[in-house]
Amino acid sequence: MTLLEMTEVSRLYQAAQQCTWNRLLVDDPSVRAFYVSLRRFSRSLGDEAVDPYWKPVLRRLRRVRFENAAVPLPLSHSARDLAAIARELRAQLRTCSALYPRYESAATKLVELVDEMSRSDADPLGDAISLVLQEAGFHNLRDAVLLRARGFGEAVRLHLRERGVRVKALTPEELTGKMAANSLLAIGPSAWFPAHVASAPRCNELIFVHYRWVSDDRAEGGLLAGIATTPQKIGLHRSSLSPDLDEGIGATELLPVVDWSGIASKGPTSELGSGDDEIVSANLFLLAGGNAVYLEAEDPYQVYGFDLAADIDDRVRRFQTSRVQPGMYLILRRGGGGDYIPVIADRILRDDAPRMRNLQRLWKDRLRAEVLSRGSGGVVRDLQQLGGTRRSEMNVRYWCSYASIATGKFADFLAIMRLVDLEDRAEELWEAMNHIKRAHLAAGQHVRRLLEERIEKADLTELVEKGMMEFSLEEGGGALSVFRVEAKAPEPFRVSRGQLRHPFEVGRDHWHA
Amino acid sequence: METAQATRPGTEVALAAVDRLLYRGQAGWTPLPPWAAFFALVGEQLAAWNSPGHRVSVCLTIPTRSYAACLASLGAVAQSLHEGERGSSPVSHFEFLASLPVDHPVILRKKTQKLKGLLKGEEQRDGRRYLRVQLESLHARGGGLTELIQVGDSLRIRPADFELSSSDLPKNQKGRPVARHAPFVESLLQVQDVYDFVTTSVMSCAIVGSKRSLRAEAVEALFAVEGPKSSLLEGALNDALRAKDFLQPGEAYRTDILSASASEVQVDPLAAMAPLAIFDGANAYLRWRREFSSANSLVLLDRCQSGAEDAASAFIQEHAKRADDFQPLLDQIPAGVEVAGFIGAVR
Repeated sequence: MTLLEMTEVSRLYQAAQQCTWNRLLVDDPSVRAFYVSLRRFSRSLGDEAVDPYWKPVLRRLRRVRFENAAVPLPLSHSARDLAAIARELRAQLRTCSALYPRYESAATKLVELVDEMSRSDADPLGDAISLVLQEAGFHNLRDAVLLRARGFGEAVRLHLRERGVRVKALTPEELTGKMAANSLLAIGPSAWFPAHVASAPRCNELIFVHYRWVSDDRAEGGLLAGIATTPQKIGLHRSSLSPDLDEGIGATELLPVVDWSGIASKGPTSELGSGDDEIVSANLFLLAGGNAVYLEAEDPYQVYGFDLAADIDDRVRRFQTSRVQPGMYLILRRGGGGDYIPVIADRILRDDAPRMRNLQRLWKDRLRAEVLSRGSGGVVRDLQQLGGTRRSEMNVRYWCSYASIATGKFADFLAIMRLVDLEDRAEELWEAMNHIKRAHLAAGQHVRRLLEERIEKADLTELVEKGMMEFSLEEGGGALSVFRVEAKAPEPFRVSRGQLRHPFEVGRDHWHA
Repeated sequence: METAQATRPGTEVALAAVDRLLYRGQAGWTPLPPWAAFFALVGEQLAAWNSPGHRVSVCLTIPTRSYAACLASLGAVAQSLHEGERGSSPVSHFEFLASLPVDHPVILRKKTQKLKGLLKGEEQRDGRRYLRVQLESLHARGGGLTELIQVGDSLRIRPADFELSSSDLPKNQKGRPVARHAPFVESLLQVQDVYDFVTTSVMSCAIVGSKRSLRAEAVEALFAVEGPKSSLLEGALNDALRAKDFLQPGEAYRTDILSASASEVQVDPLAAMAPLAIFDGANAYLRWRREFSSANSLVLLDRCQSGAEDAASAFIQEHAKRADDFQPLLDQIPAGVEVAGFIGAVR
């Protein structure tokens, strides 16, 4: 975050006071027909909607429905590629007449509607933008569109320019610094956007452009609603807008829903015998660009992250993996082992690395054997009798992991050494583990410094628009990727430790269950 | 609880200071906007609040955190300055200096320069009391220049917190300027003795936040005040805040700054006792609030920043344990600022 001039700060307070907001409702017969048909079809499927046959079909159709409402491009625009989607759907439904004859007619009709849209030059959202901005006489870069859908910014900007409207295409993350626009046209209902878009506006006029049949009923107050004594209201306090159709849809219902089991099925495999086959609890995250990753669900594991909204010296920092949330950016390594810190630490340890790592494995393998034979509860009890200070099984599991180095206190380490018959080497091993710890610390500082330098020089527009960016590490350290976290699975998965921290590709379709 | 008695009315020294401040806008030097005065006033009001066994906490959610903490800190410094001026007198200060051990390091002001020296104790001449200060090394040509300071001038001497021995003293000491932008501070805070201001450490305020951002606002951003004969005196907010981290080692400070993202959450006991702790951002409040459980606190949450929701929830939880409500400056809250406050027990 660069220093804002006092004048700029005043503009932000002024915008908070004076920003007006409006809603522009649009319609289109083919988009409406598709929406209504899809709704009826989903209802008619009932419980069969989760059938493996229908899940991928519905996923594609819902993606079309979301992008219809979120992308201000003509339906036939190549970035939407509805013709390809129609072809894929036809291929998926080849066996429908044999397997599900009673749904064939409705499913075929939906595909025909997609096909029809793919040939339609209708551009209801683009028309609305064009109308507002041309009427107001604004044709310049003072105005902007705000997109909820990722990856369409450049296509939208170019298309609108062809229509004579020169605007920026922004994402909500770009609305955290200085004023971003005079008029800001948010494509979609207000409930799709983070609260700060309205409560700390970076524009003088905010217009939500969305389809007539979408209800937008998010009640918004300030962050301190209920206890605030503020005389004026913060953010938008709008009454709910009911859709004009009997079968209208709630704003959030349109949003992508992630097919977590589908993503999990594409996860990386762990090599048996690699020592990383221990089963652990992991959170699954969907990342930008059609990627996903598993991270440890239990404390105290940490991962480097990048926070665009934070102050500049807080941007690159470590987060507890259990506290990673959508909207954050993770720094991960593609290929060659997910955790890059040990790799860099080994380079710092130079010739000492193999010996140090062998010593680390020596006591961990023995401890793991104890846990395997008596369970972690039994090991905790033994360690306490041998002078250990910790009572949690989670600690024991953490110490067993090759991802951890050693215990925090020597008393706990000594207790382990006694348990695994290494008491006579306790000090030697403790010193070696401290040596590794120091190398890990230096590696972390190195990566952080490097990333801060690169990020300061980098054009972050790419990161914001695409949600991911690659950074090369010097001296053959490989490449690190920064990924935005798009969603987190509601429940943890049980995976092998070797599957953790490896980003893997899942494709775009897994957005919609 | 009798809130009205516990809350002393703000001295509004801060308001006067902000009224005098100018920033360089598009149309040249421009008075600060009203929102700026609000933060200084809140800082002043909270720093002044004093009720034994209780503390006051205020949370502001704002459209941007820029300058808010620095201006609130300016209010706290102005408040403590006002209190300090009421308490100090040359006689009591003389007595205090006379009680210090011989060879205690001091700083002596001579006009616009400051010199380091060693206190050599009290002397009487013609029935008058003096303090002798050694300013040059015994190896100097004159054999260790000393100076006698009478009671009325005792405020020119300040005890120093650095180590110094006779052999460390220079052979020919010319001194260093009392303070960068001293006339700026003098005009901004209307201090009667700028030397006293820049050589006395008073922990008026602790800010937990991003050191880099705070440095940019406190040190790099240029401000001005009107000086004599309509001249403009330029300076930075830190000339008034005197944040320890942004000064040379050993210089007297009035504000302490702690990094919200520091790996260890550990507070200097002096900072923990500051009349006001400012949490500049969600991370600062979520990580550090327990370290300041006896200080009045101001929580600044930028609604655009990650974690603001979590920090607001944490504040709401604290609010639930309140002894009483607290409503700061209701008639002056700028648009776009959301405010909540409470009085709680000191823990």
